[in-house]
Amino acid sequence: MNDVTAYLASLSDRLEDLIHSPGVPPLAFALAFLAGAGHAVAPGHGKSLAAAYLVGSRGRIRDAAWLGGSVAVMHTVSVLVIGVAWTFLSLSDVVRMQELTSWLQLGAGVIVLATGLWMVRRHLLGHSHSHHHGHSHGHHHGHGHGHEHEHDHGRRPGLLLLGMSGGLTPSPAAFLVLATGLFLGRAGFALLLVLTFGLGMAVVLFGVGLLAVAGSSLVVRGAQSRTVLRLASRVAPVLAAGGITLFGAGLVVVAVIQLVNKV
Amino acid sequence: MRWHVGGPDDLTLLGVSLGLLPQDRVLADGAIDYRHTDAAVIGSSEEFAAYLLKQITVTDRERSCLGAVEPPKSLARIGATVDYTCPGSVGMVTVAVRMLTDLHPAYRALATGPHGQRAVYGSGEDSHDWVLAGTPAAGSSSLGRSAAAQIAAVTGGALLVAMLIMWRRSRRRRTVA
Repeated sequence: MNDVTAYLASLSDRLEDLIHSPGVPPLAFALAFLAGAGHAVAPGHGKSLAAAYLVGSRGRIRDAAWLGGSVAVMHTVSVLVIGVAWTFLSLSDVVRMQELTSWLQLGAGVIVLATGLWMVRRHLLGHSHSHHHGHSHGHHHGHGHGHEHEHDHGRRPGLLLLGMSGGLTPSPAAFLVLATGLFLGRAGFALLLVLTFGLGMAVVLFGVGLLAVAGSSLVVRGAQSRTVLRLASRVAPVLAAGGITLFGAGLVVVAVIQLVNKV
Repeated sequence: MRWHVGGPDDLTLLGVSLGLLPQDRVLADGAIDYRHTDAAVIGSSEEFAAYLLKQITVTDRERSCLGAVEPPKSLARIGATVDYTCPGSVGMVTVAVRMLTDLHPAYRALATGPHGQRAVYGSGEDSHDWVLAGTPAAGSSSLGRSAAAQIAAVTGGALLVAMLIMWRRSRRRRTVA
């Protein structure tokens, strides 16, 4: 693990050096992608939470893609907003970066907790169906036909929220790349690198989501009897909802302790 | 001039290297065991004041400016201030910053100055000129305008790509249906 951490640190350092070099070397994008993937592999970013959510809500491959995408978009927006505010609006005079990080972790914890509570409530009210039923559906623009159609309203808002909480706190390496780019007048190049960094994160989280979806499908297919299947489909959402709620509560407590200690 | 550290663990690492904190604060895996009292120990020491004066130097046309460290009130929160007095009137000075790069070459210092001047200090790039009197060639507004234009271009491009992908997907779905 130490070797991995050291390797990731050296990737970030090389990325930093490339921002200083003239031109737009393609190698920088490869390094940014690897650094983002490595950052997502490190503990955190809600991988286990998202996996729990996907298993608990019988997620699909498309959901895993939404998860990766939302983390990438949120991370890029977070780095961009904080980087611009820090560089041009003297954000550092208002709040220290460490405090800001703790506040963002608190925000992420609240989002996770709210998602967990929403899942618990939904389960208690008996709305744990996952909208996979088919029905005939006619389009408004005339070509009357019927087809099997997946109901998509209310498309797993919890998954998007978990993704957002995973990308809310910016990676120090990505933040430094953008801040350096802004200082050197190379904001566009730096933002492209941060976007590529986010893509690296997204691919890893998509992979984790795929594993979770494949794993739960395997359980469903491998279930020998209807009783086992029913039990698994009843227990998994409860475990997922409870786990996510507890994890969110834990994140909130840790962030509050950090903030209180700094006062 | 005010120097502000990025994280408390960096300050602890500096305290260990200056001999103000015990070596065992740097753990075997490279992690730093930092405490909130470390900043006060470092800030009140002569070793830190000497380190600041050694690592940050100001010269005016080859003439060194004399630095005096103000006792830091809160090193972690506010940072450390060093006042430099140069011989004669000053138009442009050369400021060298080597803070922490002796501990690890990856450390960077992002510096801001009058009229929105900005510079990035790092290992091998430890010296920059700063205009103190008059207007510098590239100020805050031009840097801000350039950054806004570049960010808008990249964001617009990314949105365009996302819209194109969504449009193609919806078209494909309609074709399949």
